[in-house]
Amino acid sequence: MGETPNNLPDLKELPAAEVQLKQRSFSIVWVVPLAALLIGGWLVHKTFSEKGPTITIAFESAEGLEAGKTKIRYKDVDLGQVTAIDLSEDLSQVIVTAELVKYAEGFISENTRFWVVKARVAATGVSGLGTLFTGVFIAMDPGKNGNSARHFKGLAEPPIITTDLAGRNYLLKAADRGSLEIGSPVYYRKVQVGKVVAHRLSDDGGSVDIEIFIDGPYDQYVYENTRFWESSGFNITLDTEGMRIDAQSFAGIVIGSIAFGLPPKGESGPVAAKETVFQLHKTMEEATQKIYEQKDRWVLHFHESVRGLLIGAPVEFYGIQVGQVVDLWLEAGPERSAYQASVVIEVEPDRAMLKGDRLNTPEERRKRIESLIQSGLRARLETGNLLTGKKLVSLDFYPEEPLVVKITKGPYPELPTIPSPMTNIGNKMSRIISRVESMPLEQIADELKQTIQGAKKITNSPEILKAVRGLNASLKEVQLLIADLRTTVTPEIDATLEQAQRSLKAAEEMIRTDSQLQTKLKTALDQIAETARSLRQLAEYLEQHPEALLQGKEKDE
Amino acid sequence: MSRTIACHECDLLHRIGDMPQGASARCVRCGALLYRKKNNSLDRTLAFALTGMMLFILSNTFPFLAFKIEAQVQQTILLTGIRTLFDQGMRTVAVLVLFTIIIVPFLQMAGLLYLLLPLKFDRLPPGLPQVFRFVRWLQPWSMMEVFMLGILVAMVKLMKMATIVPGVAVFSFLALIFIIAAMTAALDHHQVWEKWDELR
Repeated sequence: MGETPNNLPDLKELPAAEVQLKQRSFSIVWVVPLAALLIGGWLVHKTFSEKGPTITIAFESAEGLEAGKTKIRYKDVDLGQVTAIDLSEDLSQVIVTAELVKYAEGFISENTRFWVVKARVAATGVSGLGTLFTGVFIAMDPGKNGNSARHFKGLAEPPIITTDLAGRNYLLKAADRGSLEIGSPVYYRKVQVGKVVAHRLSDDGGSVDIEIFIDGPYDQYVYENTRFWESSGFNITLDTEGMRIDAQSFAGIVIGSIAFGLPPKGESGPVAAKETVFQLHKTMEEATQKIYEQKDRWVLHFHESVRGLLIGAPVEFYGIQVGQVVDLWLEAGPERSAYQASVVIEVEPDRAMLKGDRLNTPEERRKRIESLIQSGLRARLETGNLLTGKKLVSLDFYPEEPLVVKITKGPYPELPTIPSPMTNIGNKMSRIISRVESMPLEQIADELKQTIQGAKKITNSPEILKAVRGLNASLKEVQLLIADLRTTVTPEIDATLEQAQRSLKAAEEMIRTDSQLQTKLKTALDQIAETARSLRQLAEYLEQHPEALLQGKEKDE
Repeated sequence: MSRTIACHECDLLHRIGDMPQGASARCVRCGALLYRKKNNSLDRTLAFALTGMMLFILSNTFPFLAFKIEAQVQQTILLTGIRTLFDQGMRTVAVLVLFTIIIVPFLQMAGLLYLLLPLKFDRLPPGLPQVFRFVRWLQPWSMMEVFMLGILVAMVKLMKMATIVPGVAVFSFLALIFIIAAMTAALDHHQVWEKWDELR
C-alpha cells in the first residue's frame, strides 16, 4: 500500500474502489477448537481409562530400581512401570510405587508375588544375565485368585514355583535342615523332579518343615507310602557293616538334595494329595527300613567297657537285626560292683516271623521274653567290625549260664547279660598267668644248677683221662685192621656193588611216574595236604574265636 | 475515516473508506488486492487461541518422546527435557527454551483470550491497550517452530542409536505451531482498536 498524503492532484477525480461484500455465514473457524476439544478429550479419556491400578511393593533394597524406568513384567511382557521409589516411614523398607496396565487389574490379587530379577549366581546355575545389559526389572507371578490387593511385599529371592507350573507341593518333617537350601533338587531314581521351596522351623521348634515342589507329571509318583530321604552331598557311613560313601550330583554335594522312593517290596499306595506331610529320613537305609509299630524296650547292665557301642547300634538275635540301642549311660554306686554301663535297647518283635499267635499287648510279649530268659536268653556285647571297633548287642541262648536275678528299678525290664567273649578270654588268661606265677620256679632253677655242677665234676676226673688214652690205643688198632681189609675185602665189595646196581635199576622202574606205586603215593600226599588245610582253617578259626577252645564251636549264625 | 492507498503493483492511488467485515479492496486498474478487512478476525483469533490453549495443555502433559535402547525406555515430556538441560548445567539454554516455547506461547494465548473473550460479548477488559501491546511485543519471542526443527534434527541423529517413539505431545505440539501461526495471521489489530474505540 503506497499512501501518498502529500502532493495530491485531485482526490475527487480518483475513482472509488470497488467494494465486494462477502457473504456472511456461520463462521467455520469454530470447528477448529471443537475438533481440538474432541481430540484432546478423547486422549485424556483414553489415558485415564487405560490407567491400570497403582500398587506399592515393599522391598528390602532398591538396588538397581529406577523410577520411570524399571518395568514390571510377567513372562517378559511389560505390565507396568515403577513411578516412584520412597523409603518407608521407619526407614526399614523401600516402598516402590508402580503403575500397571489396565488389564493387570484382573489378575492382581493378594496372592500375587513380586521380586526383582537381576543377575544371580547360585550353585544351581546362573540366571538373569540379560539384566546386566537391560537393567533390572520386577517380575511378578499372578498367583491364584484371591482378594484384591494394592500393597505387596516383594520377595528377596525369586520364588521356585510359579502359578503356571504344574505339580504339587509336599511338606517334609525333618530333625534338622541338613545341608538343604531353597532350590535344592529333589530326585526320583536320580532324575531331578522337583525342588525345595522353603524351609522353616516348625511352630513348636521341634523339627524343621521343608516344603518341596514336585513338578508335574512326576508328582504322580509320590504315593502315600513314599519315603523321602536326604541324599545330601557326601554321605560317609561307618557302622558295624563297614564304611560306605555315597555321593550325589555336583549340585547335590554343594546344596544338598532329597530323594524319594518306595520302601522295598512296597506296593504303591494311592497317589498323595498335595500338601501331604511326610517324614524326611536322614539316609536311604533309614527311609527304606520297614517301620515296625511294636517296640519294646529293655535295659541291659554290662560290667565291662561298652566302648564302640553307639546309640543306634544294632541288636541282633541269631545274627539278624531285631532292634537297636536307644540309650546308654554309666551307673555308679558306692562299691566297685555297682559301676555298670546301662544300655537301653529297643526291640521290634515284629521283625521275627512268629509262628503261632501274634502277641499284641506288651505284657504278653514281656511274659514271653521272661520265659525265654528262663531258658537262657542272654545279651552279650560283640564286636561287629574289627576295623572300626563298632560293637553290637547280640542276643542268644546260653542255657548253662546261671540266671542272676536282679531287682529291676527304672522304667524298663531288665534282660540279663553275660560278659563278652573278649572279657572271658581275658579272665581265663589271667587265671593261667596266676597259675604260672604260683609255680616253684626258683627251686627248679637251684636243682638244675646242682645237676650241671655234678656233670662238670665227672668230666674233669682222672678216670676219664685214662679212658681217653685207652681209646686212642684202640683206634690205632682199628686203623691197622682197615688197611688189612682194603687188600683182602675190596674185590668182594666190587662184586657186591654190581649186584646193588642191578637192584637199583629194578627199583627205578618201579618208581616211574606212571607206575602203580607212584599213583598211590600221590593220592596219599593229596590227602595229607587236605588234612593240613583243614588244620589251618581250624587254626584260623581258633585265632578269631579263641573262645571255641573253651566253649566249643558256635552254631552258625 | 478516509485514507488513501496505493496499489503495490501499479502504484495507482486509491481512496479507501470504512469497509465492512471480510470485504477486500481491489485496484481498479490491475485488480490487485489493496487491503482486506480480515474476515471475522476477532472470532477466528479467539477460536485459534482456544484451540491453541487445549493443544498447549496436551503438549505439556502427554509424553513427548520415548527413547528405547534394548529394553530400557526413557520417556520424556517437554518440561522434563528442559529440566534435564538445566540439571546438566546448560542453564541459559534451558531458560531460553522454557521462555520461547512455553512461557511466551502461553502468555500470547492467555493474553488474547483475556482480551478477545470479553470483546466477543461486547465488554471491555481492563487494561486492554497495555495487554494488547504486550501481546504484540511477545510475538517475535515465540519460537516453537525453531524448537521443533531442533527436535527433528536431534531425532534424525539419534535414530541410529535408539528407537524413538514419538508421543502424543509431539503431534499436538506440531499442531500448536500451526494454530499459533494461524492465530497470529488471523489477528487484525485494527479491529481490536476499532472495537476498543467503539466500547470506550
